[in-house]
Amino acid sequence: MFISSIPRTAQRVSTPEPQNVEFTGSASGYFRLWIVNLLLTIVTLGIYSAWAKVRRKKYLYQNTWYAGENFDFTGNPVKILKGRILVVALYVLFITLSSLNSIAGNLAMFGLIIMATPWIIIKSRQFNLKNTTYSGLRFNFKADYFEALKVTLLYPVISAFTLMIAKPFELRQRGKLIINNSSFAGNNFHFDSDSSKFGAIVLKTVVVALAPLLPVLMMAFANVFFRHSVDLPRAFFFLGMTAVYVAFISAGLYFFYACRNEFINNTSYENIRLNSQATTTTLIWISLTNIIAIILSLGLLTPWATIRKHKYLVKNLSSEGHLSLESLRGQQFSEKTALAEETSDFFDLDFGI
Amino acid sequence: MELNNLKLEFQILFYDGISAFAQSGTIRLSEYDSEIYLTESGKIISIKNTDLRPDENFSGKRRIYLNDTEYFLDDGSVTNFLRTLNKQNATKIKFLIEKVESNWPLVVCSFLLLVFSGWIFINNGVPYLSVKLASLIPEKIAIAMGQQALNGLDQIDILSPSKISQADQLRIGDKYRSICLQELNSQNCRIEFRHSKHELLNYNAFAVPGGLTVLLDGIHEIAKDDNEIISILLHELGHHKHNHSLQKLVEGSVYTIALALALGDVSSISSIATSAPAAIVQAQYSQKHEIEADDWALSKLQKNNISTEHFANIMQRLADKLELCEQSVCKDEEYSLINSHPGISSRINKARQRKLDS
Repeated sequence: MFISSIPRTAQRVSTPEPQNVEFTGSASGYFRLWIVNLLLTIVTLGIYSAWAKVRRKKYLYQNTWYAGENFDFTGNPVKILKGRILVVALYVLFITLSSLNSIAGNLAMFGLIIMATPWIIIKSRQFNLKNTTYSGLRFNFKADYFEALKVTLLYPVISAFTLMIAKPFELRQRGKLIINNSSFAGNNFHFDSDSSKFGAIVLKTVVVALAPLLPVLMMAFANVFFRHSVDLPRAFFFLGMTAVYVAFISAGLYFFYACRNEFINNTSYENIRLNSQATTTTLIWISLTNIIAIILSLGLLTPWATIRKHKYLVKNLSSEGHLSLESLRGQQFSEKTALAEETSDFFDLDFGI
Repeated sequence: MELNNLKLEFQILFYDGISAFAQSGTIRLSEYDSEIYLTESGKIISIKNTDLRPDENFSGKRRIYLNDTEYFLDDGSVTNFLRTLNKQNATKIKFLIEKVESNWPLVVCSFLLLVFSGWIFINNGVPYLSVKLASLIPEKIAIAMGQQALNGLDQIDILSPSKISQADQLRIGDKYRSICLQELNSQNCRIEFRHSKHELLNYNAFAVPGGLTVLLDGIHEIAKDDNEIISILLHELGHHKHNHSLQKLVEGSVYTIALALALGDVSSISSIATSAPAAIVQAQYSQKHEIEADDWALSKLQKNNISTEHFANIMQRLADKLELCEQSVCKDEEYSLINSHPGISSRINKARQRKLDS
């Protein structure tokens, strides 16, 4: 009863040629998991949702492979459940307090939320990375509160007041905050990039968002300067409104994924560089058609849509360079149970920054 | 089969969580304890079988954890052995769920059960939770909430000061408070008079949390006598009696939380699709609320020897005024699925029916 089929894989990791990340999951496998998750969540009045989340993430992570090893998600459902109960309690408290409409109370709450945001973002990213393993080694995230406060509050305010001129700078700082404070097996990731590249992204986003307004502007122009009034049937108005919505959503998606590519393509870890070949046009197409599919199927195609997007993102990730696995040393099991890090177990919020 | 004599050996790949390299080794299983022998280092790890935690397996090779960091990969042999031994409920449930997930007919059954239990939850679970939670909200907070809701409507110009004479306001107010004291045994009932430039709102009255009823000028204008106004006020008191307005508020929150928990990976845009059925169901609840309030009002009218015909009459006049009905077909009945109120003619008929019964 000996197994000879388990390959010795780990040695394959150190390789100089580009390594692709692969995904082995399927929409049908994820669908089955999703249906059973939903059923158990409803039957247990939401209690199972914590276990459901862990199973969902484990499916995605365990089916993601890099150099012969897969990832895993190790979140503890009991701790996630406690965190969710806390979040629900805070939500109820928040609703109750805000309905009382006392100015001082609302101001205090608003201030509290602003001051807590960087902390919540740090903790939620810490939660996600600390519970991600590759080849048995953990990722981690440690960031300074004030550094995060600048990125979440100060820089966005500056961007707003400078009419987005400072936006590229804000995005670069954001990338530095998220990536330079992330680590794997004790070594930090490294990110730096030109602000000018983010400038191009911001500019393109504005162009995409405003594109459908161009015909409207031209018509207005014709009206004013040539006294030539253009009358269009109502159908055109409807089409126009749809175009405006699609353009706004597309612009948002473009911005999100272009930034993501820029972040990934300028990230290195030890001697390897990360590379994302996913194109923004394909991602916008996938996202828009996903939304339509989910709406038309009353939510039933959600697992298919999730896998479709995840697969595309993962398959277009690769690395270049030589990574020596011998140099990687994970942390000892007993060292990492500091109280400060434990609190992150409550923050399974998937906050994007 | 004597397990004591049964020694099972399997080759494994072991990960210690410190080195990225997998170490090859052997696990020797016996009834209570197992031993892992690592080939290269010669290290031997002894562990109780009950401490071995089989992880979820989505990748073909199952991780079996020794603690939070150390694990080995198993192609199924160790799992099968543990399956026969393991008495821990958590592991048993994990294996059971895996069995259901890997079997299409069982997945289809799960889906049917999901639709059924989802329906039960929305139809019975949410209203039950809302009633329970709404009754937990202290009266002081409810009063503050109601006042704030009214202030909000005043500020954004939806409501403006009433044009009803001071004397009429005083007279109606006194009647409202005395009915409230008599029927709800509450001192906290208040009535406010408002005007609205929006016609549909102006010919209306509504109940906000904390025993506050807002009567709009349209009702006063259209009413032939005080009994008709009282019948409308009794309807609003019916809402107060059943705590409807707080329940509605709580229902919204219960939905938000339930949807967020159930559909964790649905993005905000696509969740519009899932909120549409919820909106329809909420409209159904509020129809139920209206019927409850009507029934309560009609029974109280009868108890106070006021004819239910008054309610029927003023409702009929409202329907005419707002042009809700044409040739006995009422607009609001065409979409009874999505309407927040039951069809007006059915409400009028019910009031007339009551009159005949008594």
